[in-house]
Amino acid sequence: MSVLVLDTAARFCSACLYDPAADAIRAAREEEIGRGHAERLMGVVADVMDEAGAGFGDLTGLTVTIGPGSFTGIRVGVAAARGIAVARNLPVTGVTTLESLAVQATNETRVEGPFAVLIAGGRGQIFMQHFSAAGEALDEARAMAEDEADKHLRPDCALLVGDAAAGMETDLPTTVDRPVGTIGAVARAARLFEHAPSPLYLRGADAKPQTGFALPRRSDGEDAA
Amino acid sequence: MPTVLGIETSCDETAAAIVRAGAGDARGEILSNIIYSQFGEHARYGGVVPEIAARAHADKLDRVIKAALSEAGTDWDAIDAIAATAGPGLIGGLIVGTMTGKAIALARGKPFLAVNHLEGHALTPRLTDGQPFPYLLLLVSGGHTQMVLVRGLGDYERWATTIDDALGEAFDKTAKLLDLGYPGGPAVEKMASTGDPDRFALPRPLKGEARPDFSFSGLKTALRKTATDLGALTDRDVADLCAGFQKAVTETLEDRVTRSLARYRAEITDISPTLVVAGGVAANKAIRAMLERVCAEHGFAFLAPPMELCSDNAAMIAWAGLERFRRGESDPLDIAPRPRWPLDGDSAPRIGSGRKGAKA
Repeated sequence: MSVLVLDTAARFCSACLYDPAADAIRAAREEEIGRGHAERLMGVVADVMDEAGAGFGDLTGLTVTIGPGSFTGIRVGVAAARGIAVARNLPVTGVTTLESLAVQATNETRVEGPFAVLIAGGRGQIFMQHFSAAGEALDEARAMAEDEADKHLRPDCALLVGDAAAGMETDLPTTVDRPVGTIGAVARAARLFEHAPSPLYLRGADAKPQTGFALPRRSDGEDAA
Repeated sequence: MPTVLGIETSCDETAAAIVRAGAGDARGEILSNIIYSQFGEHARYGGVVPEIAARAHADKLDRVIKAALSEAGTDWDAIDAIAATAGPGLIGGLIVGTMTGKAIALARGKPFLAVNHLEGHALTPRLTDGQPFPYLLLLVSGGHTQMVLVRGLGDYERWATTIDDALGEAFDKTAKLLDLGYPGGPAVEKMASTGDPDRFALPRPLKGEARPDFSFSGLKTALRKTATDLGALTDRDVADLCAGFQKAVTETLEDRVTRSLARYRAEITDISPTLVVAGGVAANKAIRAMLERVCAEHGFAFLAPPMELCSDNAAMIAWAGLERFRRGESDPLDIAPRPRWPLDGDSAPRIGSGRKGAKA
């Protein structure tokens, strides 16, 4: 089995080839590029395929991060994954950035109890989700105001994970100061979590229906005001 | 015969098409042409919301591509190249379309072509009618109002463009002002058919000026002022305003187009000159009738591709890609989408210029 894994949800442009049966990463690239995912991603994918000596005909599926994160970044990854899927008739699994961080934390650290994953969402927001020590989701991923995030922490929370963890005003230990897990953690997250490969924005499109633009009307029988 | 998949996502249509070069014929053969229009998703906002458009493209495009393949009854082995609109347009949609196209190209080992949306419109008469070069193209849509000399493949000269709003945008804004819904073109045209075009005196922007460009924002402002001065509007007022607006744009367009026809006559040696019209506004019957008459008066053949190929579609993108592919061209997979991408690289910016250069 051979799963191509993509992540462009944050500042990394990453891909790896993962064998879930052997739990082995055959080849991986993680480039910290900030911007320009649309230009770089195909090169990263081609490098990974070359290094693993694999062809697209060998793939059995894809995994992609669906957010929350940069709207544009998420769409770069999702469009690429779905494009490869349609070209090779493959299934695509979506995993969230929060889930990938939870998997990385439980793999790297001995977690004693429930923990919170918190990442910076921009516009004064934090994206948050709680997981059990075994790595199971305890609630839904949510967006909340930065200065209110501490109120939403579970009382039994034992650890804070993610790039917004250090900014919390608590005495809890923190780990994995990243906006998304490593590409290996993304690959492994797909063994525990499975979403449709559709972007998870956690924020509306910021458009309001226009009102008051049109001029007033009256029926033809009425006198002009 | 080369066969190309085209992808179009530059505005609010998610589209995919498969086009094959004609056998012993200059025309192309459209094997499928799928368009998913998002207008229902934008209607309540009175115009296209870029983030909503980007989200809808990301949700729909792969299914639209599958439908294009299945309707064409073809598989990937029969496709020779992948073409996707890379600009000009809304960046969110362009990213979804180009990434999907690049990913398919990489996963199937096919060449990728980053197509200029305007070039798609410009080459459509070759797809539909095998039109030989050169010819004059009038592109009138919600995003563009341009007169382009099409000399050859990749050889374009923008002769005129709007200095403010696009003509389709002026129709949309008129409809919005008069509460006629979105998209506004068909609604304004329908109301205009019952109105008196001479009741209100509206300006004919740039009419009579030597420069061949277009302008519609002054007309829009005049319409707003005229309508506001009436107080609450009756159905008759709305019909008369629409009729007056449509007459004003038709007359100013006639004046502008005539200048470019005269220039073509003076500069280009062509015994059978042709004016091609493309873009959604080409569906307006009054404008179309005027263009046919003006062409007849000036000895130009008038060519309007079928409506579904005049407005945004992916068949024209596949065809533009096919013409370039046939010539041995392709683009690298690290190419970036270009929200601003004038067809004629030398065009001086007229609007939205600033340091980023001409928009389109």
